[in-house]
Amino acid sequence: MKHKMIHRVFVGTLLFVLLPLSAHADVREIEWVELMPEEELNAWLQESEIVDHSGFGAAEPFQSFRTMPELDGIEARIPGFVVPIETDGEGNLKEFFLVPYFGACIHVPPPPANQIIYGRLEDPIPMVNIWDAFWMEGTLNVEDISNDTAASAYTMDVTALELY
Amino acid sequence: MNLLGLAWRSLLNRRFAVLLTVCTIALSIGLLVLVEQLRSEVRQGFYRSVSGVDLIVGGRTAPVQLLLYSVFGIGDATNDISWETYTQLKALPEVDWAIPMALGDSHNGYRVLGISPAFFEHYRFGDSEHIEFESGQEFDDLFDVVIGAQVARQLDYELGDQIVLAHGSGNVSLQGHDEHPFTITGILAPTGTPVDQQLYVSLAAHRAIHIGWERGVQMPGSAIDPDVARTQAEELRPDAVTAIFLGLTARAAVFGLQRRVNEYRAEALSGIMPGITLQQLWRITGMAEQVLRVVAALVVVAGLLGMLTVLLATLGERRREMAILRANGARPWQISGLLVFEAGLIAAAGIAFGVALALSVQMVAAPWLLSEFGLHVGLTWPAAWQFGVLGLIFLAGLAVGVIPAAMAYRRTLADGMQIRT
Amino acid sequence: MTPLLDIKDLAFTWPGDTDPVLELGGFSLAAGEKVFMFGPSGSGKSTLLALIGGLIRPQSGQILFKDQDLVELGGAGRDRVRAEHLGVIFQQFNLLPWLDLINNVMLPCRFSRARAARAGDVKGAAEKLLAEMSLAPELWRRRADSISVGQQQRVAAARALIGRPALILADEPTSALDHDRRLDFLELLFSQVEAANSALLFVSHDRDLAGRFDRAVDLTDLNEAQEQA
Repeated sequence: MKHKMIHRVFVGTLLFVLLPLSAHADVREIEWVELMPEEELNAWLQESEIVDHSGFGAAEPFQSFRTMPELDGIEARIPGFVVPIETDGEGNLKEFFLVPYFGACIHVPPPPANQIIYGRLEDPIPMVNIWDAFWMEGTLNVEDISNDTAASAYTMDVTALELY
Repeated sequence: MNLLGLAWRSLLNRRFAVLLTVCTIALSIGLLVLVEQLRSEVRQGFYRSVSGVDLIVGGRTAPVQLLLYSVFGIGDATNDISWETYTQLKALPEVDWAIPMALGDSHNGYRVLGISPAFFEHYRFGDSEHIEFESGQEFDDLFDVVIGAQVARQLDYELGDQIVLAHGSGNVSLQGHDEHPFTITGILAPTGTPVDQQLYVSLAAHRAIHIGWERGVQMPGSAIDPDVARTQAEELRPDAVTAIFLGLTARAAVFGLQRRVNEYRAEALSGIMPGITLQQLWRITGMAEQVLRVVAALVVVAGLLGMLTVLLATLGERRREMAILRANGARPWQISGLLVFEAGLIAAAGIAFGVALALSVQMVAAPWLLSEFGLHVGLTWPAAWQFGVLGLIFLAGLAVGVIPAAMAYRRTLADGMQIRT
Repeated sequence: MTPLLDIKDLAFTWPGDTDPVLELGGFSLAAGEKVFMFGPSGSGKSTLLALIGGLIRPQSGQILFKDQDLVELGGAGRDRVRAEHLGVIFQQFNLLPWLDLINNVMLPCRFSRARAARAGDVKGAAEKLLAEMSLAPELWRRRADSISVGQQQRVAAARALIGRPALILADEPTSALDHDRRLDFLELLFSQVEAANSALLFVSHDRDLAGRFDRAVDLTDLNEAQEQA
């Protein structure tokens, strides 16, 4: 009799502890390459050598705006570097880009558009260091942007931005 | 009265020395708090100054330098951008709007910018706030000027006043555009940013007043007649601009565009993202800030040591007092507790006065910072974490009190009914 | 009736000294008794008072006070006993100079709740004692260092008496006073000691005062350690 009671209490406690953890596990940790359709990924790897510098008219040799629609609306967690775009009146970070790597290194092309996530914070946080890597967590959205060349891009309603 | 009351009375009795100690600590705390406050206020002020600009383009120059002269009016440009390049950039599909600016003139030490009407429409600051007019409106006539709130206040200008612009950016103008007086048609509402310190004219006007200046100096008789200029207003445009603010239709395109600007073969250009470049600026100033912080911390240590000195010095003369207390039933820990309380009271008073001092200095310096640098320094309480630091300093003060307290403890135990020498 | 204070075979040497300064075979004091002890300087009187007051501990012997052996008690215990049952008057510099007279008198009650309870209305008791000691009310709020030595000694007496402690220790309380004032002080002290039912151990080198006490002893006779000196 006594053993059964203890057993129940034990299982109950275990569930109580594990359930919240499993809810957190609904947040999917994604990698940058998942954001790019596979065909484009292969094309990108092949084309990274050719570059054309004549004026502004010629667009980047590789621009990838195509997104993965199945990622729309998921709770995701992804690591990257912050590029501050908007601050509130007090210098707190409000909107930013998350990019896979840091540095405007001349030898490496800038990230294509589907390797950039535009993050929005509902409650602005104190400005972060652009040289640090962060885990960004929130609801990933695929949004249409009205533009000739671009079809859609990734944005995120950010719930957490933690130091890597 | 309890121990705290006794400690208070005891300090009151030695108020001159105590007051000096409190002042020392107050000065050190004031310095510490002020350094932190100014640091964060300056940064906030910088962040407030530009909002919604995706890319700033200038003639090839260092990124921080471009940011400083285009947004903050600090320093001068070394290169400019040809008009053709500007029109090309403006026409790009990913560019939503472009604000060109032509620098190089001033008025009584305030910068004059030649801009297009896009400035009034698209320039934002703070939390995406728009430029607003306190009174008046944008340019109508060729020789109209719109002035910032600080300019109007410091120079006591009103709508309709006529002013003359000067060539160059010095505080005193030796060469003026005397043939082309400007009429103030608009005064902007305060923004708390460098906009308040600037005057705005149209690009056509900027061109008009520089006709005849091609050799770098006004050629006598070569200035264009104002009325003639007015008839040509439609066609007048500068050969070059100093910087361009760009807003993009797809914000994510900024990375690609920045690369193309920097690698543009036809002209040497630099493109910067304000958010990134500001942090590069902080990296530079950060070193000086760290030094300041260390200095301020050392001054606090000096203040606490000063308190220790005063407490130790008076220990000798208070032996009698302690013997009296002991004889009347005070426990040794109560006697040493008295000293810790005294240290705590001095530290608390020092911290309180120090914070008040820092706030007063901010209040006094704010107008000067605003008029000199266009920096809007608000009067705010120190941040939460700073109170944590102040709390730690208070505890350090108590700890300092433990040293004479421990000495007193040992002595009262050794002393009997009379002080044993 | 057991004595209030009973000292047996006491020996004390100051740390660092080789010879004991005090060696007392026996000394006792009854409750409410007023004892005059003759002790010139160097006789060990201060040491004896410090021992009775529980401020220092003897190397050997017994100090029974109210049925408790002070030697067996720890420092905290002796502090408690002193706060609750003892009043002390020094020759001079008795008061905290930066406190007023009232607060100086109330001092012992700050350190012992039991004593404060015995006094009842502590402030009222302090005022009464000051009045009994012929100190005018105008003086009560003045700083202790602003009154004369004679007045200070009377305040010290009032302080020693507050809360009606069992024993008052007086170390040459009249030696700093004018000759005429000494008897006045003694009379005031006696009347209040009797009113409080306290015992009094009065140490002095002024033999003239001895006659008014219940008993007179000579520390130089009692203290065997001095014989070597």
